[in-house]
Amino acid sequence: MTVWEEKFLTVRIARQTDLQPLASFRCSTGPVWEQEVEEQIQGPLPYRYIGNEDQQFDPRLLVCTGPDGEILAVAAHHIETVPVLRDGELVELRPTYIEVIAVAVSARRTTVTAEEEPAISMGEFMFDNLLADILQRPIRDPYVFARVDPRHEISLRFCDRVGLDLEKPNEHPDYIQRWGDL
Amino acid sequence: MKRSIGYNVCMRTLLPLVTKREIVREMRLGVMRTDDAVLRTLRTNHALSKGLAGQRRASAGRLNGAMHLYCSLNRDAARALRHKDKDLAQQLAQAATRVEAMKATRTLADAIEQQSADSSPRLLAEVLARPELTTALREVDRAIIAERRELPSEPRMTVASGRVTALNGVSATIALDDDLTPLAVPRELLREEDLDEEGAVLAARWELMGEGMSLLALEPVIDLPATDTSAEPLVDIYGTPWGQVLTDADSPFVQSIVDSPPRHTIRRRRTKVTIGE
Repeated sequence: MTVWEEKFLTVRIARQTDLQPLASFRCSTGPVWEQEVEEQIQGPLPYRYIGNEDQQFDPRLLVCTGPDGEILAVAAHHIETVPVLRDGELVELRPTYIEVIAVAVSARRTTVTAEEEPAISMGEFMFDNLLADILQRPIRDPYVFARVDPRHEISLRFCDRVGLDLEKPNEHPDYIQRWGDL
Repeated sequence: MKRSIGYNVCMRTLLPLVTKREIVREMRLGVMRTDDAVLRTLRTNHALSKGLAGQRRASAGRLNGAMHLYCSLNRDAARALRHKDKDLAQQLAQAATRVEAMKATRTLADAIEQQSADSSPRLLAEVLARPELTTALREVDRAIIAERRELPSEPRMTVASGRVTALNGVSATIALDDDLTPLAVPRELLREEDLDEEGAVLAARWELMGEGMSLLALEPVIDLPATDTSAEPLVDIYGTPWGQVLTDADSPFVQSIVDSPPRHTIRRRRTKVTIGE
């Protein structure tokens, strides 16, 4: 198992120059739910986020790089609006959708350590950074959700650990939604 | 009108189809040769696909001349041939042929042919920005990216998209999308491509010519308009059902969360995290 000290890792907003390395980013070892994520990251996903300053959706794509600049993990979030009643009035709630957290195959079984923090997996490290980014964004309501393939037990356990604990069916039956409160 | 993240997927998409003007220009680069002579050279070297022929329509359905569109990979082939890389030029032309054989490419070409005006790149970009073409555009764009990925990269080319932010006498300022770097360009370059206005979206293409010189070309890109979220064909836009957005059907569940006391379930670390821009 590899152990990284946090100070050697950089988490930043993805740039146009990341498109090329992302096109060959590998995060799947075969399962269909991993392949789907890999295809998204190698294909359309970065184009939805990089350079997109849409204020309604506020899309944010983060990459974690090692000292040599290699992309070790990717995370993306944006606002998805949904109508709710507040004080009898229909308003648009702006929860955050975590579209993806993906760790490179080369960075699997990696632990990240930092002072005053417990050692965590690379995926949890990206979640922490993603959360920090969400908290810095304006106009977000304090709710976070993800869509998960219910066969992917690792993802479900991950959701439990980070607090995405409320489960709801998704419109597409291949996925479920997991919700949590900030 | 709400803006849809789905359609923002395609913001700043390079033109997937070009006319012979763009191909000839890429090959000729200032050398005095007729268009036909350049095309003949490309064909002789198998560095040009057949393209998509069609009839341009005027008002009331009248024919308004023939039109020929080519997959943009032909332009790369022309450049490769100019650099005397015949193998690459031929591979690019073959890739262009595969893209042109796609039904989605024909859909885009048909849409262009149905407009009655000229076939300038600016007009092509405007036509291809129509929301009903988004699915076909994405499909063709992905196919071109996939074809390029299979071929040797072109280290001499750099392409960045951006927007004209200011017009200042003889020069104009462009903000590039990657980091909003301001770039000054001659306005004449913009005028030639019908891009001489604030807000025009474009791609800047640099070709390294060696000996410390580079060539800058500007061209329109496809910028898709704001679209009502409710009209969004979600699956087509994201490519997977994974990318669906929340709908009214999700409202009762979300309402129940909002109406409940805050639970603060999301784990937070003790120390601060800094995200680099």
